[in-house]
Amino acid sequence: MPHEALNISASALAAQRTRLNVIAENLANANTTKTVQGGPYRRRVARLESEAPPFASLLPDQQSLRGVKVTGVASLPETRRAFMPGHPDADHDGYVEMPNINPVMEMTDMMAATRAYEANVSAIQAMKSMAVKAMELGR
Amino acid sequence: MSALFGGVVEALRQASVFATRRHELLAENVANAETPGFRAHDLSFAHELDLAKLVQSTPDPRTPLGQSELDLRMLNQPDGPAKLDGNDVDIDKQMVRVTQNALYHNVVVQLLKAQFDGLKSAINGR
Amino acid sequence: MADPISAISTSIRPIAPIATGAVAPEGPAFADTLKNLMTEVVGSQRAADTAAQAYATGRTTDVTATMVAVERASISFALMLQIRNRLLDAYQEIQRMQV
Repeated sequence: MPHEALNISASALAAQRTRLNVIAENLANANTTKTVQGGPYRRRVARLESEAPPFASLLPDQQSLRGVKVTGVASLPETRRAFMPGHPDADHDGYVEMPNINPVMEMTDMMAATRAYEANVSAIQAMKSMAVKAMELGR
Repeated sequence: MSALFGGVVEALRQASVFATRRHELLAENVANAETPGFRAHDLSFAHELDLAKLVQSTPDPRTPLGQSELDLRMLNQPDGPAKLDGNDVDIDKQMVRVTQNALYHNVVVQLLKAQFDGLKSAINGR
Repeated sequence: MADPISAISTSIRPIAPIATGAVAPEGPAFADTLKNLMTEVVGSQRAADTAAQAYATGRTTDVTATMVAVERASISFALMLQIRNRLLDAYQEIQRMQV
């Protein structure tokens, strides 16, 4: 059932894309000191989990394979204090409460998510090539 | 053994079933390459690609022609020691296997096609 | 399948000596050529089957050698089929000849 493989790979594409969106949001808000909720931007992290495909229960004898899903996006509460006396949001001592975002770490995560996305695209292309080849048997 | 399709066609058929099933497992590994706690799977002996070892010794009477069937259960096949989050998938190694497996599948199908074309041309007389 | 072919070839050969003074036919007899071709076809079919089985079970990963063996069998089989068709046509044409 290559169809199942397609669903699995597609689930990973969606999951990695969501993860990339979260990382992009972190990078864009790396210096946001004031949000709508008040306070600095909190770093967000996508949580990945394997999930069984929807019709797994109908195939009891076959070990069903699992795709991946973003089951939630957590907001980490930590912030960091930076000494920036001229900043409009600085307190009496000149410290500003900044988001706890390390751009280098976010970039590393982004590269991992991109690579995972591309790998799943390759897996789909491999599956397509196999399906097309198998259909040649009928020609 | 079928009267019309000899042992080669049967071996190729089993090879194509093997390749299709293996792609599913590898796709699952690739999809979960970043999932915490996920363990990589593969078919037994797949890394040696020795189909002969995969065939169960006693023929399975449940199959239509009583042919011995492949053992297609998946096994744990980690790429290396587990990372901090419990995941043991190396996405690059898995992609190499995906490519190899796709090539193997396509060659097997091509060989099957040659078998069938030979039979068809003998039947048609041209 | 060898019998119809030798039956055809024995009826073909006597035609040559009718041209008096002609040089005796050189080279192997047609029947022998056909038999050699048949042997080669069967041999290449077996080699192709062995190669396909070896690839499928993972004993070899040489795609090129496998495909070459299979193509050789396919081509020699197609050649033999063509020869058989032409012989059949020639036989039927001879049958139609008024003697």
